[in-house]
Amino acid sequence: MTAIDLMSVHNTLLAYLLENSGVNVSGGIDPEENLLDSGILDSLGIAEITEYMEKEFAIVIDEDEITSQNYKTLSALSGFCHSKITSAAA
Amino acid sequence: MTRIKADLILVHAPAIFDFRNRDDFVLGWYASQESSNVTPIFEMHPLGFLSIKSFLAERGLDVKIVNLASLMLKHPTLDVEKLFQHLDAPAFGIDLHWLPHCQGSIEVAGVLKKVHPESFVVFGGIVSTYYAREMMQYPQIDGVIRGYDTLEPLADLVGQLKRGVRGRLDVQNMVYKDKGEVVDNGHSYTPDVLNDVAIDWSKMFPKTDNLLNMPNLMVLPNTGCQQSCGWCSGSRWAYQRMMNVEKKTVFHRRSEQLAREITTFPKTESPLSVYTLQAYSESAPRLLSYLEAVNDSGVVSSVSFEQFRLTKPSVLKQMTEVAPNLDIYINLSPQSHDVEISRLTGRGTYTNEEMEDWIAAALDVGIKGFYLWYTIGMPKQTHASVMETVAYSRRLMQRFPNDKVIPTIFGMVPFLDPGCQWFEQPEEHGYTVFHRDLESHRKSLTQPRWRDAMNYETRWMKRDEFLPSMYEAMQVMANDKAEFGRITKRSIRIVNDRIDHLRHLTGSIDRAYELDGGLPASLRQEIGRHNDEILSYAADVALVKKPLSGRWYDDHTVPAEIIEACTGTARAA
Repeated sequence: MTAIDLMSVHNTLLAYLLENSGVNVSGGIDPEENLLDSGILDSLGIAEITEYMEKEFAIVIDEDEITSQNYKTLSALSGFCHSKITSAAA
Repeated sequence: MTRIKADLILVHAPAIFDFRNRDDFVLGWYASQESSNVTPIFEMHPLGFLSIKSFLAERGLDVKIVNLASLMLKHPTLDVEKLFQHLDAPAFGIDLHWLPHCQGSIEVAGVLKKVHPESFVVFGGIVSTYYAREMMQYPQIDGVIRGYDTLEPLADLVGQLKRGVRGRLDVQNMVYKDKGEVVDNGHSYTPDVLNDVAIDWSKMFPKTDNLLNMPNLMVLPNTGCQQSCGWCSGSRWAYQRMMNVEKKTVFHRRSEQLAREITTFPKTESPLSVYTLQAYSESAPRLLSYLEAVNDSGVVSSVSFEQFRLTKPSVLKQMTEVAPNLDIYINLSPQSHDVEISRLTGRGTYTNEEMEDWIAAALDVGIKGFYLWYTIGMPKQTHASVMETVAYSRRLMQRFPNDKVIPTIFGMVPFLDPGCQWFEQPEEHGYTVFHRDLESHRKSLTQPRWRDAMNYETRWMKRDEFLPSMYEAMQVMANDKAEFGRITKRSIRIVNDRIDHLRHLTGSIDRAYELDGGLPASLRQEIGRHNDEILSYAADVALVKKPLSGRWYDDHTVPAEIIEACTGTARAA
C-alpha cells in the first residue's frame, strides 16, 4: 500500500469516532482526551474500532496489542495504527 | 505423564459433544444475537462449581475445575480422551443444571467412565434434580445429588470415596447405583442458609492489559424464588415440587459470606463489572449494604442486577447514594408489552406507563441504565403480538433517545424447563409438550431440523412459527436499536447478514428434508462453514471477534504441557 502520514490516520480515526461513538462527541475529541474514561470507547467500541482499523488500513492487530497504552487517547491510537501501517508496508 | 490430581474433579461439558466439525445441524439457530458472552455450546459453568471448590477446601478436600467446553473451543484439535487420561480423582462431578447441556454432559460422562471406570461419576444441578431417577439408566452415571444446595452431601460423598468406601454410601439427597441396584437416599438436606461459603475471586482473572478481556463476575446472594412464573423451573411453584420444600422457597446466603466474597474481588486492568443474580429476592437493606460493600471494594466500576417489581425511586436514590462510584444498571423482564400476557407469565405487575415513568424517575436519581427483556413463547402471544412488542420497544427508545434504555427480545427456545408449571400442566396453560423425558431431549439437540429440537408449542404459536417470528422480531428490533444508537452501524450490518444467513440455512434444511429426507453435500458444507464461524468467537452485542479466554469461567486448571500433549502440538524431545 502507499505510505500514509500520521495526520491522515488521525483524521480517519477521528471521523470514525465522531460517527460511531456511543457518547455525544459533537463538540469534537481532544487528541489527548482519555477515550476509555470518557466512554468514547467502551468495550464494544474497542472491538469495533480494531476491526475497522484492520480493514481500513489492511493491517493485522494482535490481541496482545489491544491495550490501554495503545488505545488510551486518539493521539496514542493514531500513533499505534500508523506504526502498524508502516511495519506492514516495510 | 503429568497428571492433575484431586479428591474431586468437576468437569463442565459442552452443550453438544462432539460439536466440532459438525455439518449435520446448525449451531446457534436459536442463540440470541445479543444476550450473552458465550457461544452456542454454553461454555460458562455454573457458579456453584466455585462454591463447591471453596466449601470442600474448607473441609480439607482438594477440588479442581476442568472446563472442557472452553478448552475444546480454544483448542479445536484437543483429544478429549487423552486429556482425561491426565486426570486422576476418585470422583468426577458433572453439571447438568441447564437442559441444553443434556446431550453433552451425558456423552462426556461416557468418555470419563471409559477412561476411569473405577472413579465415581456424580451429577448435580436443577435438571439433574428433576431427572435424577431417570439418569440412573445411563451406565456412565453412578449417582445424582439432588437439591438447590449440595455442598454438605457432596463433601460427604467425596470424603467417603477418598477413604475408599464403596457400595453403600451415606450421602443425603443422593440417588445412586450399588452393583446395578438403584439406591435412593431420599431428599432430606434442605438447608435454610444457602452455600455457606465465600467464593475466592482473587485469582480468577489472569493479569492482562488486553482491553478485549472485559472482566466481569457474578454474585449469587440467594436461590429459589417467591414468585411462581409459569415458565421457570427455579420458581416457588417448581421448588415446592422439586426441592422438597414447602413455605420457605427462598434461601439466602449469610451477609457475612457475601461481604467476605466481595473482599476477594481483584483489581483488574480493564474496568470490572459485577452481575448480581436474583437481586429481586433481596430486601432493600440487604441490597443497599451489598452495593455499599461493592462500592467500597474500590475495584468495581459497574453493577447490574435484576428487579421483579418497580422498586421505589426513594430506594433507587439510596442505591446511588451508597454506591457513588458505581454505574448501576437494572434488568427488568416485562416479557411482553401486552399487560395481559405479561401478567400471565407471572411477571409484569405494572403497566407500560408506570414502567416508563419509573425509568424516568430512576434515571433522574442516577441509575445509569436499563435492560428490558421481552420473550417469545408466552401464553396468548401471537406473532402479531410479538411484533407489537417490537414496535413498543421502538417507542420506548423514542421516549428515551439519549439514555441507556436497551430492550432485547429473544425466543424461549429450544426448551420449556422441565419442572416449571407450564411443563407440568401444559393443557391448562395452552401448551403442548413434545419431549418429556431426558433421553428425548438428549436426542433432540442434534436433530437437523430446528423444529424437532423444540420441546413445546403454544395454542397461539406452533413450532413452525417460532423461528420465523424470532428472526423477524430480533432483526427489526436490532435495526431500531441501530437507529437509536444502541448498536453501531457496523454491528447492524453483521446482525442483518447473520440473521439472513441463518434464515437461509434453516429454510434450506427444512426444504431438503421435505424433498429428499436428508441433507445434500453442498448444504452440509455450507452448514460446516457456518458452524466454524459461529464457534470462532464469543457472541454478544458487539458481534466481533473476542478472545475465547480470560473470562472467569474459562479453564484455569489444565497446564500448557498437557494441552500440548493432547493437541499434537508437543515438540519432539
